[in-house]
Amino acid sequence: MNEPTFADDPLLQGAFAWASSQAATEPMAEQYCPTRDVFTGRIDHCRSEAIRAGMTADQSFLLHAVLGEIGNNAFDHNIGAWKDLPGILFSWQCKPGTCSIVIADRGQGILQTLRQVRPALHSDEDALHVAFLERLSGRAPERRGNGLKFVRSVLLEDGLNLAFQSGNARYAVMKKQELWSNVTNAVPGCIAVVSWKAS
Amino acid sequence: MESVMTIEMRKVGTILDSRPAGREAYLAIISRIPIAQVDVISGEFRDIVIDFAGVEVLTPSFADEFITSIAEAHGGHVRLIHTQDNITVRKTLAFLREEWGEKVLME
Repeated sequence: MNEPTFADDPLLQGAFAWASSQAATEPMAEQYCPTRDVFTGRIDHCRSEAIRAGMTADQSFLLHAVLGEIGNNAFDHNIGAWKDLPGILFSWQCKPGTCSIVIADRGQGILQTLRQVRPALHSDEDALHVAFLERLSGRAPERRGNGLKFVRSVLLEDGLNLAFQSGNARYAVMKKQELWSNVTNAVPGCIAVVSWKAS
Repeated sequence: MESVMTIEMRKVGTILDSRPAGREAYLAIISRIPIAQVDVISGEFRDIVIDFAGVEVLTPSFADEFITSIAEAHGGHVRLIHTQDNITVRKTLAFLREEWGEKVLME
């Protein structure tokens, strides 16, 4: 399986460098969503470009739902806890027949978030498994924790691709096949690449 | 008095995709609908109907804050209609269904 490496193209490479750098630098204005409102407004724009690239209406609605869950998760879990720069980097590139969309944050990451409710978690890999497979909220007693499970279910049923990394753990779904792995280049927060290719 | 109250979600918005939006919608709606109100004739809780016609995007985050909160506050059934028109509505409601049990009915 050809898993996205985050170095496949300049868009992904730039987002990975931003998310993993020691010092915070503000992304380009058209990529930076300092607040949830900005992010919400830009998803519609992204969806429109995906449709122009050839995505069906149903696929575009699912894309919106997947991006919404991933991006809103960053805001839900990092308010007041950003490592330095608040908000997310949200960028995309759509060409006829293909789209790549990246969402990255400089937040506390999945492991630290879930440790608040499950202190025994000790690795990024374990945390990522919990995040995508179990209905456990990082903000208990609030009722949360379904978003990434829903994302997984959509990916496995509907053919959008994802590479998601937090810390040094990575989860990918390519052509409805899952892959869990550990990588050497860590990101403190999270980075997600959602991609689509016309069949 | 009608025995059923209907919430038309398209009047809340066609893009329903975040927890804060779901929470805000719940707080706005809850003051306007007779949650936990008993029908004077039948003596039973009045059903609440949530109509998803016209909704383009629904996510579990929004649905969890909105539908689950209404179901918890309401004594009667919550019935969901036009649940198959949009793919995200269909998938989100199917995904959350097991958590709601028989109190939330999907049509």
